[in-house]
Amino acid sequence: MRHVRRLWELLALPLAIGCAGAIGCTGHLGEGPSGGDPPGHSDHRPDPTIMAHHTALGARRLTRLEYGNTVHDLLGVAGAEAKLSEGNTVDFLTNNAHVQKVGLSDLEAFGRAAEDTSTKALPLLVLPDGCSADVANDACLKTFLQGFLLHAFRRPPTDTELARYQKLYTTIVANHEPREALRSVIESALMAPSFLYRSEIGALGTLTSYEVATRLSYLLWSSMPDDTLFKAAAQGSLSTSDGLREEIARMLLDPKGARGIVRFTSEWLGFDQAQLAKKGADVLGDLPPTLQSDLEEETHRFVVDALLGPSHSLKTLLTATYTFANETVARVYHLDNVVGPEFQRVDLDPKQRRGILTQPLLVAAHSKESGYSAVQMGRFVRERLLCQQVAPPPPGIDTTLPAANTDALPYRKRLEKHASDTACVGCHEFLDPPGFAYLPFDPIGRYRPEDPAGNAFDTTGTLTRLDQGSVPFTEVTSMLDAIAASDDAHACFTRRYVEHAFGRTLAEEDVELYHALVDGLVASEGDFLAFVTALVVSPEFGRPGPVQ
Amino acid sequence: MANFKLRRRHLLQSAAASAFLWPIIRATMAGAAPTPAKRLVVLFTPNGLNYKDAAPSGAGPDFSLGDYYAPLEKHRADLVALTRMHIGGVPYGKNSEYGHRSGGMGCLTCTPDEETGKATGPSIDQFVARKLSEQKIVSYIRAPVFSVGASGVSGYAHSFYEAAGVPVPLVNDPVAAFDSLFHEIIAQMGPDKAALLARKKSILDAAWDDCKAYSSELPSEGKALLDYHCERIRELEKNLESVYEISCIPPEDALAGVNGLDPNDPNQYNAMTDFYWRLIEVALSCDVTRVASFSFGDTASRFNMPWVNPPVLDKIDTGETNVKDHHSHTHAGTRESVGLFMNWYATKVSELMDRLKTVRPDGTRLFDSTIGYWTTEYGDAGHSNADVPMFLFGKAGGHFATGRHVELNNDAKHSHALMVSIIQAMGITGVNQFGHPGGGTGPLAELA
Repeated sequence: MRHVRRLWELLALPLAIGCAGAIGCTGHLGEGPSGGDPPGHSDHRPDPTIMAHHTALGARRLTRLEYGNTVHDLLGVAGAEAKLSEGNTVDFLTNNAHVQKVGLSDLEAFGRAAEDTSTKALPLLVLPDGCSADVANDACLKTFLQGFLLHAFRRPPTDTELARYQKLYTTIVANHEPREALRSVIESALMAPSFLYRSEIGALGTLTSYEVATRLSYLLWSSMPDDTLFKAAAQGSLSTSDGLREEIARMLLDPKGARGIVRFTSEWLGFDQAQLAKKGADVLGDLPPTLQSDLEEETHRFVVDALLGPSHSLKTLLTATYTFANETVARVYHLDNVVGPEFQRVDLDPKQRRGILTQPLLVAAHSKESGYSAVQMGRFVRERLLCQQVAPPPPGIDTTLPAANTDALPYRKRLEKHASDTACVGCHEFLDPPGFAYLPFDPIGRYRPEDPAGNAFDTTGTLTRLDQGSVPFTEVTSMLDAIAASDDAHACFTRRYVEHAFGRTLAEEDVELYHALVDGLVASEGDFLAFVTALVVSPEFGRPGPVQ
Repeated sequence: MANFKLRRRHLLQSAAASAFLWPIIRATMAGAAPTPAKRLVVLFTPNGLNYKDAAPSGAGPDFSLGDYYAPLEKHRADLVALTRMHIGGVPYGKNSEYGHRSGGMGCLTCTPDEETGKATGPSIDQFVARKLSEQKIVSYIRAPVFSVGASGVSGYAHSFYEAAGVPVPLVNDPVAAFDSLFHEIIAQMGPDKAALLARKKSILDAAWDDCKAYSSELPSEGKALLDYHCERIRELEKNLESVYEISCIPPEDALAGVNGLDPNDPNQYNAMTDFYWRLIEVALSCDVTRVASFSFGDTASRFNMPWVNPPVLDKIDTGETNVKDHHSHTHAGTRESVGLFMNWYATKVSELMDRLKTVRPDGTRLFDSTIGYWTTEYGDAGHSNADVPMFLFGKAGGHFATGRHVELNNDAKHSHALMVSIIQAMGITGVNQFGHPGGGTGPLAELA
């Protein structure tokens, strides 16, 4: 139960754990918007406004990705999200309801997306038998609206809502063709907050069955419920653990289950930020332009296999020594036994690789552009894998290292200024060792035992501030094994997944659930299916959450 | 993008009705503006100045622009160089004196809150746009923010804010940028504008009804979230109505020139910036907007510029290797190498000024009615919020005496005052304070 203390830490105000001088280097805390900041100059201070708001808002706006998936599943139109901007993030997650205010330019983008989507959807609509988009018919319209709004609003429409859209149709058909009036009804529904936000209001402290279905579908599919789930909601079967278990099993087997788990994992670990094209010709060499999509395919296949496949295990995700490769991916791994574009499972050298944590896409995402950064990789380990916070260097500090081209010091030696400067050492003894462990990987994740000058990389170090204490390691694999076995890694995964499920940072009301989930995850050696099931059947999952 | 052929037909119909061959048709606003039109262009460049001796220097009209800003030399008579400015809002809250975050958030809002990572008020561009609407100087609320080298809204810290805690997305996709200004204008080029407008308003009315009903069911915080959304629906409706009063030929040729290019590819930044200059020129000229902004990257942006061929930095203090972007050079480059980047920014700003100085068919120049404001996020090396160079350009209807250098003294109140000066220059009345209340009141006396 070491993580009991850790949850209270994450709910506490900023910590200043004893780094050198006045530097507060780590806590298990939230952060502001992510992305774009330079390593070593991170300003990811805790965000007390967000941290103080561990409340449920009752309305969670669809993220850009959820919007695209939902429009696709609702109307069969792909790519609708292209017109929308990326949203804010909290703790790397895109669905925190507290940073989802819709500004005017956001709303204008939703408007253009709704107009475009409704136009594309019209020819694809399945109308009630005997009805036509070209003929105005009240009975047809009502039947259509009952079905369409149930799906669009993810609950049965009220009489007021049915009347609202019937009136809209009637108003528009007076001056336009029936087809245009029908399109306008769809366009307006796509602009309605009842579509753009998913409801988690509940009644008497309990989510409605449709709200449970919606929370479940966005958790597992990043999209709206399907007809089977709507039916389960209508029949009340989601109010029982057995009913929920049945749906979880079905939904994770559905192809959309892959969509959901890849989305969560990519936000948590940040591998979706990799931009291979920016790595530069000297790094990419003659690798084909499909490298980005091939590496994405590799990682996506692996995530799905690890978490939803036979082992369905967090341990597999973090420590496996296999992957999926086609010829291009195999070249990055220096494997010459894979030919052609088709992917196949391949075994990797266990002395070099550990699960997703050494995959090229992930390494590329955290090695900026054409360069390699030990500090950046250290931040990845601390912030993403262990949910630890890294403070910025204090104001006015001289961050200049020994000049790059005036000596022959190996890379690590140059960064050892961090260890000799009292203003730096407190944080950099925390950050740099895990980054040094990653030294043998180049900016696209190729393994290279020596630097260009022929010096063997020194990857030894000590990983401090793990729940086991300080853990010495000799290379990246032993470090990652220690992390994967730690309570901290299990607790971090749990925290991010529950935040993802609830769309908010954790609150005092979540403590019991959090403890139970971490304990279960540790005891089961990372059984993801058991973890998800325990979360979904928990009383907390069926509640709106704390309100102000 | 919508059907191109349909657009083209509408455009030809519109053009045929026009007496101008000039690609822009002046707006036919219903109800003339009560004061001569003023335009505001806001520009942001990342990563500060870093070398104080590269800033403008010298007194009065004989000032030197400094080598970083030398490409502005041809426009020196039409600008005011402000040096030793201090980012607004910083000393008044709990903010650090250092960091991209406070400077990035504060340079346009004067309300950075480093603890929350969000500004607690709107940026100058959004503030002005809303005031212009509130005071019925224009009938819409529009203040687009375009960018190259930035990705959406999820940057490290945001500079442009619609309101407290609501950053404005930086649009870096050319089609999205084009559509944000001209989509509705093109859509209303059909035969029956009234019916089209009525249809759109009915759609938004239904969305508003849904919004209010939804909001009423939510707990207080959720209600605030939805109520904000509902207000935006009404603003969107207002903007929609305004479009039906505008006649304009959107620059589809410019869009065609960049459509298909990867906006995230640094090799395209030059062409993309030129496209946005054209977009801004047309939008201002047609009165689609009175306010337009452009962000070169965003705060702490790395901003690669392969065309300036900067030296490759083997290793920099952040531990990265083999880098050659602007941010890395500010850390580990030289005064000269940073100048390569700064010269390019200045060159593009100069080109925008050239474009705004183009004489239009009616003999006027946009430049004469425009206020340009160019800022960066910090001054001296070490991310200091002091010693920030800022520029005003444009004639602003004669509001500012240009062709000079004004050296301040790093009092942050000067930034607040500068914003008030800009607001008042835009013809907005009743505003004597901007940003954090600690920033004082009144315009920047040194500009008088």
